[in-house]
This record gives sequence, structure tokens and C-alpha cells, in this order.
Amino acid sequence: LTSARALTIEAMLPGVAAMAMAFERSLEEGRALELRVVDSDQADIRASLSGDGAAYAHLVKRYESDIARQMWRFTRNEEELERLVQDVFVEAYLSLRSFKGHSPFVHWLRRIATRVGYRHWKQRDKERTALEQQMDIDVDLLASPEEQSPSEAAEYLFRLLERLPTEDRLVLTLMYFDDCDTREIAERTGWSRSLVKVRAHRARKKLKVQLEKAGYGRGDHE
Amino acid sequence: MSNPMNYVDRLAVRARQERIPSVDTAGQVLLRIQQHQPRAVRPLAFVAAGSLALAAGIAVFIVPLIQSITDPLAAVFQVGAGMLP
Repeated sequence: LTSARALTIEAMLPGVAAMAMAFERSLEEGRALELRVVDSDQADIRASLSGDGAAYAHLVKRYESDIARQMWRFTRNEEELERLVQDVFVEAYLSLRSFKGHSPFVHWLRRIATRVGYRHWKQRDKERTALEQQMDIDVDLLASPEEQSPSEAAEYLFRLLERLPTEDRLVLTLMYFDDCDTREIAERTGWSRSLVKVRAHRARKKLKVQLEKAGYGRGDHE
Repeated sequence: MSNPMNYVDRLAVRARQERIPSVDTAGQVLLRIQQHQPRAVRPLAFVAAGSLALAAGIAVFIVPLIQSITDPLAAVFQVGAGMLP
């Protein structure tokens, strides 16, 4: 039996080796692509700083879908989304000289995007009435996530997080929607990692209380 | 009673699969940048020019005043100097 197993393993070895080589090759290709993007980013940034609008348009086109994905977490309105994405790139252009290039350009853009989104929420909070803020969660909407379309699930998660204070909402939005860990949240918000951990813990607690108050767990939501 | 946070975690997994609306912002971004720059500079230029004019006007009145305070007899000596042979 042992020798039969050894024979099987031996027969599998060339296949495993080929898979490992293919994986390594794809990693190398990925790294090469990343380097090419970083190089073209730097060339476009240099050109933009010397007044080349077309170069900045290249940067916008390269990253606008990435930034739109992030800004869609801050609004569910397409017109607002367009304006927020524009705000991010205008703000990035105006502070382009401060970009040192220590980290990829897209990371720097994401930090600006987080700031723009946070400001947008603060503005919206002022406009929202107290009544709107106190509205209860609709228990009927607590259907099983697997039964909802991704868009419905996103809409519902957005509405759930909307009830939290802005700082708590930001931490949980980055955590749930963008799947960020505490290190990445700290990087995007500029807060310390320990502060992010504390805020995440408190925010989750508040969210849990809200869901329980709305009757989650009393019915069948599984 | 099931844990509500488990529900939120599952909701988030589903929400991350959502398709995001596409945007095309490059043109508008460039337009806004172009509009932004002169607008930012122009008010500053007006403020600077106004401040300069005001400072010059004040200086015209203040300099003789300071001279008369620091040296009140200067005018007398100037008249006296003119009368000397």
C-alpha cells in the first residue's frame, strides 16, 4: 500500500511542479505589470506637474473606476458619485506636489477619496433631519443575504451603517464594503491602528444593539 | 438567538459582489482644474493690490507725522537756517 502511494505521489510530482512554475510565472508577470503601471504613473505625474493636461487625464482614466468603486460606498446616487469622483481627482491635482511617491499613487488617491467621502457624509449629516436619523430599521427587509441581489444587499448594508455616527460608519464601511483590515483602515483614514480597533469594536457593538432593537433574531433571518 | 453580526458579515459578502456604475470624469476634472486655478489667484491679486494702495496712502500721512513727533523743532531750524547769512 505504501509503495502504491509512493508511486501515485511520484506520478503527480511533474504536474505539481508544472503548476508551481506556472504560478511563479504569473506572479512574475503580475510584478512586471505593477512596475510598468508605477513607471507610467510617475511619468504622468511629472508631466502633469509641468502642465500637461493630457497626462493627468491618463491618470484619471487609469484610476477612475477604482475610485468610483470606493466612492459608491459613500453615496447611492449616480450623480453624486460622478461629482465625488471628480472632487477626488481635482483635490489630488491641487496637492499633486505633495505626493512623494513612497507608496503607489493609487494608495495616495484612496486616502484622498476617504477624506472626500467623509466630508460628504458630514455635509449630509447637517442636512438630514433628526426624524430621518431616528427612523427605525425595517425588520421586513432583514431577508437572508443569499436571497438578495448584490445590489439589494449593498443598499441595505448602506442604510444600516447610515444610522451610525460618521466615524463609526467610516470604519465599518471600509471594513465591510472594501474588506479592509485595521492596518489599511488606519492608512486610509490617517487614524492610529489602535484607534481604528477601538472604533471598530464600538461601532459593531452599536450596530448589534440597533439590529436587536429592530427585532433581529426574533424571526427567522437565517 | 442568532448573532446579528453574523448576518451583517454575510450581507457584506453579498454586497461586495455588486456592480458599480461606470463613470467618465476625465473631461470634467480637467475643466474644473482649469476653472479653479484663475479663480483662486484672482481674488488674492485684488486683495494684494488693495492692501498695497492702502499701505501707500497711510505712509503718505504717517511719515511726516512721525518726523514731526520725533523732531518737533526741525521746521524752526529749517526756517532759521534760511535766515542765516
